[in-house]
Amino acid sequence: MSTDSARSAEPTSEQEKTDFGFTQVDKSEKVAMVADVFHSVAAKYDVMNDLMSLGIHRLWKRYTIDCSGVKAGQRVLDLAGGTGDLAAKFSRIVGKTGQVVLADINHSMLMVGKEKLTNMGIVGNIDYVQANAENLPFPDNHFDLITIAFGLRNVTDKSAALASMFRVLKPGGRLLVLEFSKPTSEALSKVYDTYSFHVLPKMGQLVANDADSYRYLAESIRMHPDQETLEQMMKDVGFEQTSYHNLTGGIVALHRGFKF
Amino acid sequence: MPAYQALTGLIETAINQALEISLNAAELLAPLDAKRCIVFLQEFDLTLAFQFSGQRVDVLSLPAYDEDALDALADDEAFISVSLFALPELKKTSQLTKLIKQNKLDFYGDLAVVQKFSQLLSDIEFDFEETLSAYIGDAGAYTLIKQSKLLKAHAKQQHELLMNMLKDAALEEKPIAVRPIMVANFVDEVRQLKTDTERLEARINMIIERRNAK
Ligand SMILES: C[S@@+](CC[C@H](N)C(=O)[O-])C[C@H]1O[C@@H](n2cnc3c(N)ncnc32)[C@H](O)[C@@H]1O
Repeated sequence: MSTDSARSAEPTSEQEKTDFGFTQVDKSEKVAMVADVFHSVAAKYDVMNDLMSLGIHRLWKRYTIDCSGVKAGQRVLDLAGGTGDLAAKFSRIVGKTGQVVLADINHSMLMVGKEKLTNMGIVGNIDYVQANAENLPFPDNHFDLITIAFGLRNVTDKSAALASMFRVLKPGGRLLVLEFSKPTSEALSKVYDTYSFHVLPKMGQLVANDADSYRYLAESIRMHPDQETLEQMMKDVGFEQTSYHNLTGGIVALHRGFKF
Repeated sequence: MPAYQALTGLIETAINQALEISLNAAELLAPLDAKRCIVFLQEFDLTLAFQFSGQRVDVLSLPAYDEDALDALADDEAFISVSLFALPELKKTSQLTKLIKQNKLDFYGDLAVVQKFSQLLSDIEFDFEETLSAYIGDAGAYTLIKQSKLLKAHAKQQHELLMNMLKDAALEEKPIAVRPIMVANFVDEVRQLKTDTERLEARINMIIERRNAK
């Protein structure tokens, strides 16, 4: 993984630092560095997802869809949607009278997603938009549902992103954040650490020939806010009736919030 | 692991695989396009939604449908509440009205959706018992169906026991009282998992070394 292209020449102050995995980098650099990661994993993303999670990510995503309450005719934003697993299902659920927007900051991921969904026959009610979650290019009060699956931890300014999602959500609409979180048991936490810091980067090396990107993924998971902190962040930008549900012992959590 | 999602995934895969090899899938799916059949499985206390599109069927598990949700059913939706015992009979399209009359099948919404769904299930020869057996084990599915039949002969107590067991198994995420033996067992399993993980890491190391040596 190369991040050289992302280096900024401007010296920046301490306050403008942010985490990139376990490393501190300038805020202005993170977007491009994350872009590099997903640019390099895009082609192998689906295979690696199945391999790394032993296929369980499909169940986590299913749970998210089951909690979405989406119906025919509604408008859905699958943010940081990558290769479009959620968007594919939403497209079939909302039908011809509804609309799905698959948005991602990364052109490579978006293109892999677009090709996959088009090959699956998903056309007509889906748009592909390259967008930064921190500053969404959509009108106010536009979507019935926003999902962001395994995307928020990569965003530099998470609060700005949550506020942007709040703005484009219709009153009555709901936000679902599916993200890695904090395992609830100490023992599970230890196994999970061994897995993510030792096994995962090696799998990345073997299958995608890219250990660095997968090391970043593992590190970024640890740096992501835990369940309570994320729920509070959602409340802070205006979400109401917030709650979260731990999945697989808290390895992943689904957060839910409404705009009224 | 979210248990209900494993079940819906299984049913969805089974139906779509059957549709893929069916000669008249397109014909069966066309009249159901954009329609939704919601099936409440009484013994599991589980609400499944079968969402149809031109290409396939998506299966979701939904929160329970109360009166308000039933009132809010859209024109192209149908809701049925059915016992596992009556599930195989869902495939007999001509029997549907009889089932409704016998109160074996509670029904709301667009009857045509249920009829077409029933037609689809019967045409693709979808076997609920077989699919369930992949989820809860052969013996489980057999017992389940058999017990449901026994229920008809008023084996109520036994049924409740069985169903509670099944519900606990299905609702893995639900908090249950943890006995010390279960904790010990969990610790053992975690230890085993740790050893397995380390072994996997060692194996990957070997593969990488072998590859680098080439
Ligand atoms: C781990 S992938 C998840 C993809 C998909 N949602 C899934 O669950 O399979 C994370 C995605 O977040 C995107 N992403 C990262 N930062 C973003 C940002 N600031 N705005 C929008 N998308 C972003 C990445 O490009 C990548 O496609």
